[in-house]
Amino acid sequence: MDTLNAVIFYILSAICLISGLFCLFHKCTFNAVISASLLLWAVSGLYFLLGASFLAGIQMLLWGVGITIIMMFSIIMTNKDDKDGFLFNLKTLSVPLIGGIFIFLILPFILYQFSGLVNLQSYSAGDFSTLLYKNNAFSFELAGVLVFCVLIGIITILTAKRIMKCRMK
Amino acid sequence: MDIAQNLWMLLILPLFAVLFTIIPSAYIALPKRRITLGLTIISSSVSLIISLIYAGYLLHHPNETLETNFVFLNSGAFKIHIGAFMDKISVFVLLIFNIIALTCGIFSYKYMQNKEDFSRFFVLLNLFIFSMTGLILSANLIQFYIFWELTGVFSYLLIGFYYKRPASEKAARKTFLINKIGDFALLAAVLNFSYFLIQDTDAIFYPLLTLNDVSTWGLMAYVQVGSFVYTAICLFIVAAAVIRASQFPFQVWLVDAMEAPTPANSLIHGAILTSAGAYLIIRLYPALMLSPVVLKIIALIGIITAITCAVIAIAQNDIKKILAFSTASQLGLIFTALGCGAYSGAVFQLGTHALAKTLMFLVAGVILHKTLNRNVKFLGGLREYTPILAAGWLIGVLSLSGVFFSGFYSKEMILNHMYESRQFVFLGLCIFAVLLNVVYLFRSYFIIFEGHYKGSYDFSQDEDKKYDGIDKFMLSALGILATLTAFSGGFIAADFQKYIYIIKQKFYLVRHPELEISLFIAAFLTIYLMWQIYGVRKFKIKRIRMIYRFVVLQFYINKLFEFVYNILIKGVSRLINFLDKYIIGGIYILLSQFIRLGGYMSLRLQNGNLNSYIFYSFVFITAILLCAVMVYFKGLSQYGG
Amino acid sequence: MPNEIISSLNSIDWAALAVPGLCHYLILALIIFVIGIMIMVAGGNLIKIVIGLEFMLNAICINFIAANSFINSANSAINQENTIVSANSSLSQAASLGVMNFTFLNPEGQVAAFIVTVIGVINIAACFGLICAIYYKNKKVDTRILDGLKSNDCPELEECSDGV
Repeated sequence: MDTLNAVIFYILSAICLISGLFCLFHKCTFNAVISASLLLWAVSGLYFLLGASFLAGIQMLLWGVGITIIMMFSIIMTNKDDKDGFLFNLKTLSVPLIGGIFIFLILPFILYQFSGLVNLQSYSAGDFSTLLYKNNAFSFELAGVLVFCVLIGIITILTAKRIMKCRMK
Repeated sequence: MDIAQNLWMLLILPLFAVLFTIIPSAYIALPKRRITLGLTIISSSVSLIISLIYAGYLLHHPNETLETNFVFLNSGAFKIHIGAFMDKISVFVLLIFNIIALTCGIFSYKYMQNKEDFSRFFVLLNLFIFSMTGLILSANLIQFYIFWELTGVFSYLLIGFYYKRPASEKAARKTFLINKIGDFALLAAVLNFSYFLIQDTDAIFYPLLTLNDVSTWGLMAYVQVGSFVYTAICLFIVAAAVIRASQFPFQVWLVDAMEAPTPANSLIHGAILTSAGAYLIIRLYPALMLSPVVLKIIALIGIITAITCAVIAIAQNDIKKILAFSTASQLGLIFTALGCGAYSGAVFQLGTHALAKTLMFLVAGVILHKTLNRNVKFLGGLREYTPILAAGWLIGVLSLSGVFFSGFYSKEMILNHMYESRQFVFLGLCIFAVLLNVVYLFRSYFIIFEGHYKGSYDFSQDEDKKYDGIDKFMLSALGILATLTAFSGGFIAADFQKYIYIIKQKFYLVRHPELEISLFIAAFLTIYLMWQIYGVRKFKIKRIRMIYRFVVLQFYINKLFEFVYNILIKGVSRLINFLDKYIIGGIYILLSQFIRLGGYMSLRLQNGNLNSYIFYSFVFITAILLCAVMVYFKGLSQYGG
Repeated sequence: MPNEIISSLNSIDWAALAVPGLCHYLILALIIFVIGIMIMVAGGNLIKIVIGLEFMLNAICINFIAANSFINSANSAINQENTIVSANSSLSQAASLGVMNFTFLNPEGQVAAFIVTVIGVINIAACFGLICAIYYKNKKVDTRILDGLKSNDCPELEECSDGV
């Protein structure tokens, strides 16, 4: 069982990394969106491995489907079909260097602190929802209100020009 | 009520005149000039009346002094008092000063009538009166120094009254710079005395450097520091007095100061400001007496000045310069008298000289007002057209030369003292200086008032006018001064030595007939000679060009001062300017350029590109993380896992 | 020297290292995070920048969930409280109190990940709305052209707007 978990983990990780790099280097924005979507699905698989099945489902729905659709729509609405690739210049190439430094700084810390932890604890949806509604109901409500406000804001921004035009007429 | 409390009135009155001159002129549409004149006259008159009352009081209480003060600064053992102190000397000087201030104020009304900045002149005049009153009434040497500086400031402002003229501005600056040397010397003396007196534990119970008891603290200081150091400190005081009194070689500032308006010249340079130097010596005389060397130096400087300035005055053709050198010479005589111990004579001479010199300055002012000409070569024969002015000038000349009127009595006191104290060298030199004074004074009279008029002013327009066309304000001022110059000496000379003395002695009019008669003969012979040369022009003096030039240029002392000024002061100021502009300014500019460069570099970061901003954020977070990790691992290595 | 390296390499238990533990998930999250930053920095248009933001948020969620799963939270206060209740009362009482008759563990990390997810989704939705609004105004979403935040005071700046 552990071996199967390990194999699945490594496969999903490879999918994540490859799709991430693909998204980074590819010229076409649409292809980048597709590879991003693939990463998001792979992450949901990782959640299953970690025993967070409920969250894996949420991940699939929200990120894998919802956000992907939003990204598609944004490409359509902005006619983004040009071929912007990775810009090879000094500043751009210094980013991997700095990224490497970033990883290099955090890696020893991770290895030192968490190297012994291999035993997994899985949680049910009941555990999750109990905690969410018992202890964190307020933050959940707040998130809902935030969604609502953002929706109204976006609608206002997007329709402002048309309203102005109507008023001028 | 304590009579001494009213001493503050003398200080406050001129300030009130200033205040009420400034305020109404800004807001009220009234005849401002008359109000200004009225305030000045009221202030001076009330001060004069108060001074007379105090003089009467002190005459009846000869051993009393009046003092009022408060502690201005209190720092443990060190206390500075500010107050007013009046004794017989200060009341005498104050009386003379108030008379001169009043007459100058009256004279200035018409003299400054058509000039710009009428109110400014009177404001400065009143401020000068305030500072001089404060100087005369100073309770201690520290307060004396404060008012000494104030008089310097206001005299600078009055000399530079016509500041739009470059010569005026230059003269004011020269006066200020030269007097500043004296101010530093006085400050050095004050600080030295203060320092050494504070070391003396007995001295701390007295007000510091009080002028009421100069001999006491002088003696304490002498005991504390010894003869040599004490003499050195006293020489600082002498330096300050010498420079302020325009003694040799510092008479150069007095000549250039003639750029001021004539009433200011009479008040400041003819009579009072220069007398402040002599007044300093007079006030500190009990302390200076402890060092005989100092007195000898004072006498020496005095006699050198008296002779050299008299010689220079003989060669001058500018009416104001003649009077300027005359002032320096007469003050030289006063210094000689002080140095030789003729204390009463010196004080009396101070008063008689002030009155006579002011009279002569005001007469010169009227002449300038009419003829607009300072060169005596273009005057002449004015006795025919303005006999009043001729009479005024003659009274002044006779008094100053010591032949007649008040000046005769003061010179008598001085010469008698020298004769009796067997200081024959100084006596001889003094007599020589007095005769030189006769020469230039009568030369000036004969050139200006005798002979034929050579100027361009039409005196026929004044023929129908009363009092030779002289304005009544000017005339009244001249009349007051002429009367006092002529007759005041006789009234007070007899009792003067009874009240003002260092060594008490009775005054006799003709004490040593042989001295008096020989002096009279010499003086009259000199007058006759001057009459022959400059009056009837029977003889003509052949000038030796080189000597004449040497004398006219004040023995090249002025050139020396200019040389020192250009090389030393200007050189130093150029060096400091260079340091300020290029070194300190350079550092400032360098810093600002660095900041500008930093600003420019950070401005370049703000290129509007979102990717760049994200990149900078990422770099910054990485840097923070690096620091955090370093701290964490350092903590780990110190305290273990 | 090479012998020492080989012996140290031989001493490592590779089999145990291969089992995915917390470290593996954290390292993976770290790499995804860095890739997200690189996309944000190097991306030429706004949509790619938002995609990079997505990657970063997902990496954070992986961190939370992995940490929650691997770190033992059996001794947390809430678990102790429920254990005492279930030990002292009957099932009905416990049920009436709304407490289950077993000790439940603490998925706080998952709750945090959930909140992050929700907020992230809102954020990204708002970003895409803004992208559309920007497109309507400027007809472009290229970051090299969108330089409204650029300072115009320095004339030399016109030469250096090459971006990253």
